[in-house]
Amino acid sequence: MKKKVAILALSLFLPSMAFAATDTYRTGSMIFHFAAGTSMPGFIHFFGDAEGLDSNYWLWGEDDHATKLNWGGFFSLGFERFTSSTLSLGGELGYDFNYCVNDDLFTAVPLQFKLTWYPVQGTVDLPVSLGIGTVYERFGEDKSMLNLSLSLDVGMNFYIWEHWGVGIHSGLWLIPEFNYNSGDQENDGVLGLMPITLSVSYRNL
Amino acid sequence: MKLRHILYAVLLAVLLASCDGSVLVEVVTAEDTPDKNYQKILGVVSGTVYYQNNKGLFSNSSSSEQGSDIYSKVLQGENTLVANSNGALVQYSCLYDSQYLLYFQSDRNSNDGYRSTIGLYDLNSGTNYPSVPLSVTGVTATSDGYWIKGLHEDGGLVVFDDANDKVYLCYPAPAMVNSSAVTFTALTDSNSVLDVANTSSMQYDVGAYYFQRTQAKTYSMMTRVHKVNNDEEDDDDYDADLYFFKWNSGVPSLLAKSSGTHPYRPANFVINSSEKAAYVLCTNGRLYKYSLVSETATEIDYKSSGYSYGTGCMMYYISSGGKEYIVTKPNYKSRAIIVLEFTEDTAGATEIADFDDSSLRKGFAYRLDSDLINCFYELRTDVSSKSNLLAGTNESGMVSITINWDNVTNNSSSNGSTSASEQYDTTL
Repeated sequence: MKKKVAILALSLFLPSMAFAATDTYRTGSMIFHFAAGTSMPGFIHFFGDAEGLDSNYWLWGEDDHATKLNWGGFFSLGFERFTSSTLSLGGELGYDFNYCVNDDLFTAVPLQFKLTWYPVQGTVDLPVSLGIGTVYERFGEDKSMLNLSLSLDVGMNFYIWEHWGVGIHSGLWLIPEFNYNSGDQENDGVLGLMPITLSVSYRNL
Repeated sequence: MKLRHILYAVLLAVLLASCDGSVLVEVVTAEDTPDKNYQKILGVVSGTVYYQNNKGLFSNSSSSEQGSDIYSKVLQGENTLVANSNGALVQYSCLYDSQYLLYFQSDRNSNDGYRSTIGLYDLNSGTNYPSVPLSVTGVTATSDGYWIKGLHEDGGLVVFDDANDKVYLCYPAPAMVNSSAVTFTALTDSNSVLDVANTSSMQYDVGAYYFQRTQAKTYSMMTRVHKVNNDEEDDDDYDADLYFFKWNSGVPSLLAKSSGTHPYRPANFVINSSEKAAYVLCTNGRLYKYSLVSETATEIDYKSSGYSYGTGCMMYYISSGGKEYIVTKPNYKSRAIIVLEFTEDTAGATEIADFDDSSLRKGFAYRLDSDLINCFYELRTDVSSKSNLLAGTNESGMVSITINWDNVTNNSSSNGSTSASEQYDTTL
């Protein structure tokens, strides 16, 4: 079993490693990117025992145990600057929307600091990012909150030219909800969204 | 601390203060809504509920059936009695004597609000008579008929005699209602007639009619508001005439009236259990108290609730444990149910004491805190502990709720319970 996993990993990474004989990036290199795609509702988990609620709701749709959100859209604009040849720090502003089963609109505007690791770089980059920041979320006409947001993003960028590339990304966004009013704190929970996006990147080596 | 830091702190505080929590709960409890806008719950007869919505007049007798989704009940039980059509929408309706649905439809061929016929649906025979000749004893008809200001519970008809600037409250007698003719009788004694001669250039709510109906008693209030000072925008610049009526066996009589007092524009009212005080909630959130000890209603006090209300808003009165409670819903659909609370006054002589308000989103308020309540109907009152109501919403269907009096101000399941949307139970 271990052999199979190792062979599979090598078959995935070796072709890319071939493009990355030497580090492409150096301290001070920068990347700008714009991404657009869809977001899949993953789950909503409640920490407490809110009246009449389950602990977990999964995926999309109208089922009693579904999140009641539909697939939506996700856009983001990001910037990162390398602090070493494989690590970069940056920021990202996003916009997510998902229509609910009653046609009310859920929107989230995350603003995050991101730490990105480039284990594979060159013509093909394989970035892995962790993000933390804040998110302004809104539902329907008047429900809104400002909360923490966390994200994990993995992607593959292919640089057609030296500076311009396209990519595909996915990951997991976690949007915890911590209510300020003590009466609402039994409703504290976390929303998990999975964006799947195509990106355009410009890098300044 | 630099100015920049202060600005950041202020910005963050504003953002946090503008937040209204429990977003995720709202998401997972969202339901597809029925394409219905409840306007009036006319009554319940032998378990069958009659109501007016944006599509016409309907009945539903499947109270014991609990569908698996919000459409099941509609499909299983809803009967169309009078369907709206282009140019003919049901405007006013009432259930009279548990046998007749009386109604007026908008008519593009009629002159404003004038009507010479009335619609009648006979529940016993299941026959609809859309144009029954209408007459009102005590009011002179014009060539176009009567200027109808509204048709309300128990057959309360409000007619405006614009030739003489008078508004009349009228009522039918059972023998005067049939498929051949419907005759109302106007209260014509001078105390009961609302004189609306134009004393200022700005008049509001002329002949506006409000009602408080429980299984035990029915009261109504007819109003005229006029603005005293047109140049100022001040809450105290309005003069109001408020006429309170009590209904006995289908006949109204004047209980008390107040002229020239200063509430803002009324949203609704209730009369307390001792019948000695009336509470008038205004659109700006002020709750005025009137003494009804004599036929001249006197303004005693007012408190500000801090919310704004729409005309005809929900006001459900409860008296329990030395306290009086009024269950209300502000005119903003995501506002919680608000319960106003104060010390009971059986003599109708004291100011509103120990005034407080509570916001409810749980228990009986669970499904009503996210939509407007357009109408409600008391199914049954337990004399010692609880009330059972039907509540019709703007877009979320109808629900049945139970309110536990002892915990009516608790924001928890202890205050009562609610059915799912459109899965109401009329036999509670």
